[in-house]
Amino acid sequence: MPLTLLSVGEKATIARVTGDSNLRLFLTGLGFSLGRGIEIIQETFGDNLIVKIGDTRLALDRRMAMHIHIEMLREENYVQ
Amino acid sequence: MSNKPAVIEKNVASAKKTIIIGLCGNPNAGKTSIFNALTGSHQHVGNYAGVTVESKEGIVNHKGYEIKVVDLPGTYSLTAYTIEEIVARDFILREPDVVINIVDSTNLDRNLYLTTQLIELGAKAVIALNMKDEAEHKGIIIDTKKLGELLGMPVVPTVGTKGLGMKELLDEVIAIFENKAPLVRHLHISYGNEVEEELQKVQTEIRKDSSFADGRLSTRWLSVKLLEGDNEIIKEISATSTNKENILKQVEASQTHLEGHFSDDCEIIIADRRYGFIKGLLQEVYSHRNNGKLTISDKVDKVLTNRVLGIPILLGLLWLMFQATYTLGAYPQNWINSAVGLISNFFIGIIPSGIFRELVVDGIIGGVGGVLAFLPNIMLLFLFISFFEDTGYLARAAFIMDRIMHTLGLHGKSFIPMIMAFGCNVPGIMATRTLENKTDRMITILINPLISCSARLPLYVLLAGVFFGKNAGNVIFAVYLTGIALAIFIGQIFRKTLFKGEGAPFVMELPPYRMPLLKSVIIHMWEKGSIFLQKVGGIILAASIIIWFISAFPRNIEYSKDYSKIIATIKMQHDSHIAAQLDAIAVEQKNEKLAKSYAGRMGKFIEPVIRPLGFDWKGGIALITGVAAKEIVVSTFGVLYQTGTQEDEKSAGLREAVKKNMKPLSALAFMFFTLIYIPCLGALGAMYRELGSLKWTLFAVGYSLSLAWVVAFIIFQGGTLLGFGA
Repeated sequence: MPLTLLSVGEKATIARVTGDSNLRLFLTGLGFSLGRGIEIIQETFGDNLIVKIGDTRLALDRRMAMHIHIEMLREENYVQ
Repeated sequence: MSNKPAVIEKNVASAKKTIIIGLCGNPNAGKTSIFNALTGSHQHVGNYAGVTVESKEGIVNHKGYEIKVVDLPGTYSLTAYTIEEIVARDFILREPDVVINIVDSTNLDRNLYLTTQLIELGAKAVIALNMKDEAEHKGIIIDTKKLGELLGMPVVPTVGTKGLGMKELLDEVIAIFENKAPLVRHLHISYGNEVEEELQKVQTEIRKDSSFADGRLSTRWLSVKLLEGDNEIIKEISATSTNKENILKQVEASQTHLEGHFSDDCEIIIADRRYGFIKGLLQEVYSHRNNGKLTISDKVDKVLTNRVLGIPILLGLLWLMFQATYTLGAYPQNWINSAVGLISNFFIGIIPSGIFRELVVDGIIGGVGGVLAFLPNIMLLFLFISFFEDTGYLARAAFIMDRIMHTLGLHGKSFIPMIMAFGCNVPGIMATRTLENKTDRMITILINPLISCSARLPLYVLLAGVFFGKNAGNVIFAVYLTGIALAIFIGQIFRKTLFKGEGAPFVMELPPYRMPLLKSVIIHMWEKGSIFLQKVGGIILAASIIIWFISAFPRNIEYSKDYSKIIATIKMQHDSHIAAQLDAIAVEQKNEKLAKSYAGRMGKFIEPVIRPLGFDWKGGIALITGVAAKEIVVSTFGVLYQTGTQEDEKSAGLREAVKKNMKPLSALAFMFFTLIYIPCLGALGAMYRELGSLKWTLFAVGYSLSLAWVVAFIIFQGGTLLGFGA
């Protein structure tokens, strides 16, 4: 499911990144890579998101969040 | 991959041995602080030839070497998604002897992703493990020695903001350069059998092209990039390679094969393996106490980026910024004005009356001094902007505004260039570089001059003060608001007509909030503000001299009356109004002299076009000279309207003269015209560089002139119709 469905405080892992190859490479470089844990820190005005991946905080808008697909995971499987 | 960065050639023959090093690393990894710590004050800002990304270079001497340090743009990887990435990659491929890869210790996994690509490129690199203190503070423990062994690169712990580890870093650079670094070895990141087989096949095809035989480019790296579908490399290969058909055919076959095998896209598979490599590495060298908690920075974000409070807080902070800029700026402004007055009196004292004194006092000191008075405002504005930038708030501001900017047809990251523009459009236009999408950038650059820079303020203050008295503040505010509204309106028109399609979605790293060092805020303020100073030093100085020249020449004018005779006659009278009469005749003579000067002729030439806007030829000449820099509009008025010959309260005299020569309605139209018409030369230069197109720069000139004319026409003619013309 797309990242937009996750709510604040929930954790998941990244299952898939979509978009053209340049965009996907760029997102991967930013830290959106398969299998990594992701957590929503904050929803801002207009449903934009601040997420936490590892120790990085990333801000992304709804359209970008649609490119990130996640899998809900139980707490013990969460990979930093 | 075509533009070779304009870096000075390696000077082998010189007595001192030269090493060129490139600094690369993620944004927010502390590249700038390391650069400053390494090079101190010996640096200058330039541009890569042909591209629009800024480069900073500095020189440091160490152990008998002259080391040239080039600060590359901050990048997350070496793909081709942003201009920064392409520039950094080109540079690393072609120029440096050694690369310093700055890695944020608090963010090791993500930062090492770039490192894996340096390994693949075969770059000779040393890792600066930066922000070591912050990492320790956060409970992160890194085995530096082992990390170096596993990466095949020396690793030096550093704290750039405190200048720690710089000597060790340079020692390692020299050791690598002299091939004496024990750790250095070239390693391959293994992508697993399936991928490796396909890489082999592609590599074999590439090697058939003899131009790659010189080892200048790693064929393995090229193969990886081709499998990843890197546009720039594909373009390069199809443009230059003698074996392009076979290479591209093989790449396609390999991609199809791998995607079939893994049922995933090639670049995802490759990226996955890179992260796998990093993960394995980190297991050996990295441990972390108190993982996963919300940090203080997160808690601050809960408030500052709050869904409801975020925007009001941002607006409040901006309001404070502008208030402080203008109230605090007023004091040093008065000092500068007095100093300029003293200096010009000094020169009046030492230079005998004549043409040279006119040049120095009226031309140079009058012109440049008038502009210098705005330096405090501009510096203060940049001080605030640098403070917001260094604390990490500016990145959030862009994000908070994203939704609103998006509804306006712009991008969240367009917000920062707009805010900068209130200080000066030049750094504003340069700040558009953070926008990844080309059409977003084009629109943001084209509308940027509509945001009223501080150089236009003096004119508003003068005219609004003279004609609108108590309402002056409101009038000025309305001018600013009109600029913003027009920027939005024009932006939307451009989005709907010239640059169709959606802008890029928003994604950006948010650095943790930090209390910046005063020193670094001041350095950043200075970097932005010095652009303004360069303008004062160059363009404005030249323009002041030219304006003085065209208004003071030709010297021998045929007057309509014999003024000296009239003056002599007046002096013969025993009238009590003799002084007033003399004054009036002097002004008349001066006006006639000006009307017949080159400036006057130019103003008269364009007068028919601007007459419907309520401007006369004097307004025309002020506008022409204002193209050089908008501050000059006021100083031109100063030169044009100079009433007495030895005026002490120049500004009071100017206000009087303006009052006599203009009507409130035409003054209002004049302010709006100045707001909108042609950006100044500095801004045009920046636009040309950033747009990379003469056509679009000329388009900016054309659209802004027409828009200015239309708006001023509506104000003046509309106002006259409504009966405000008196």
